[in-house]
Amino acid sequence: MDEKLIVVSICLAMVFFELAPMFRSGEKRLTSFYTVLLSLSVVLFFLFDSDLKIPSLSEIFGKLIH
Amino acid sequence: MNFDVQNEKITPLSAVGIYILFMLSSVQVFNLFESGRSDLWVSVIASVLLSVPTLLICLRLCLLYPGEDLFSVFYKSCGNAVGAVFTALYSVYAVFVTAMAFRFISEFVRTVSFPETPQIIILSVFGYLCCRALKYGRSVFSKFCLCLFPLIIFVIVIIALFSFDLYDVSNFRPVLLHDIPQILNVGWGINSYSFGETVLLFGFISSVSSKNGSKGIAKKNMIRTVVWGTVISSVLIMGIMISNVLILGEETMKRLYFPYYIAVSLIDIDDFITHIEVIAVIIFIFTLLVRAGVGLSVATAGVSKIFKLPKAEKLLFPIAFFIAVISLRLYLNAHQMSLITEFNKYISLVFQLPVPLTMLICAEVKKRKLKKK
Repeated sequence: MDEKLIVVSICLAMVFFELAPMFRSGEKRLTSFYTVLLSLSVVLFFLFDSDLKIPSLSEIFGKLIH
Repeated sequence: MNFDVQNEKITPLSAVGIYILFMLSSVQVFNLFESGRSDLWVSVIASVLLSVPTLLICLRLCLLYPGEDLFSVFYKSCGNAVGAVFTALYSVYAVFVTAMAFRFISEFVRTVSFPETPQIIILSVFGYLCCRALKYGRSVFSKFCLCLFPLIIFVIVIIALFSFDLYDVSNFRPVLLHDIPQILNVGWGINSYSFGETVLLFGFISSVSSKNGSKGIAKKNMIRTVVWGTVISSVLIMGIMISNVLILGEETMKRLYFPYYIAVSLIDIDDFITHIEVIAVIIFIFTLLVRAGVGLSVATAGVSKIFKLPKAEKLLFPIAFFIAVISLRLYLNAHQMSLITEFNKYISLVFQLPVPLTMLICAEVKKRKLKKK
């Protein structure tokens, strides 16, 4: 659990430190997008794999129609 | 190697091949609709009729802007701000369609062969395969589809011939057992997953070339692609549906997730030709590869268009990985697949008719303003 927290924190930090200069300077770099997308994917993967019980899209839809 | 979407030309025959393979990938999904399995072939006809408005709108947009990709049409017809909004919406829709394709392949592999393998492994491998297929551009991918599609059609026809002994005509009767509203409902579902997604497919095949670069011939090529693609794919899909019903019957189909695979596995000719269900697996995987490749390419093109990034192919891998992770949360297990196909009906309704219609109205108004000037 600690290792997952460390990885998620590092990825979130990477997202922040890549996005902040982009918004400040307005310069869009491909490597920044690459890093942001990969880091967000890793964060999402660990979130979905955790005990947080995030509902799936089909479950949300099922609750809406019933 | 760069690929510039504007300069990526696809031959008309490759475009037809991509169209047919894209539509064939939806076949396995049709069994997930809750009712009307014995009349699925009628629902396919209904879905073709329901898709006619979408096809006409998309064709008209292609004729107004020949050779332009979908997102350029958004920007040219609606301006930068609204064009960016529609591009973002369609990129999200492309991500959703690709995530569905990824997840179907993962469920298929886990149900049929490897139930203990973690999903992320299967998704990552398939995602990597899509990225490598698209790495050298759309024209290379389209040539791959051109080589593949006659082979797949040949295999489907051969499987249908081998299955003759297994056909039980009593499974097929009575025709139109279900109500017309039920059949139309399933037809709507089929349309949302196959013919209606031509909107997305247009983001990939809109740059159909002509030999001398003439726009007039490019327009005719586009019309021929859509007409022939729709006709051939609807005939093949109907044939597969009829074959499934004749071999398995409605009651058996209700209990299966992948009826075509099971129907092909029953083929046994003199103990010599047996266990050819691996061919059904190959067809399923290749057609889903085409679907996922088209969706991934459109999503990547959309993201690079919004953020004005020069080398779109560099984003293939991170977007594919992002889509693979997103697909984990579309549904939790195979039992929920029917819910997501129901959900897809409503989502697709927005992207397959009102939004393209809005685009067409804006494009026609713009064209008339330019003519007056």
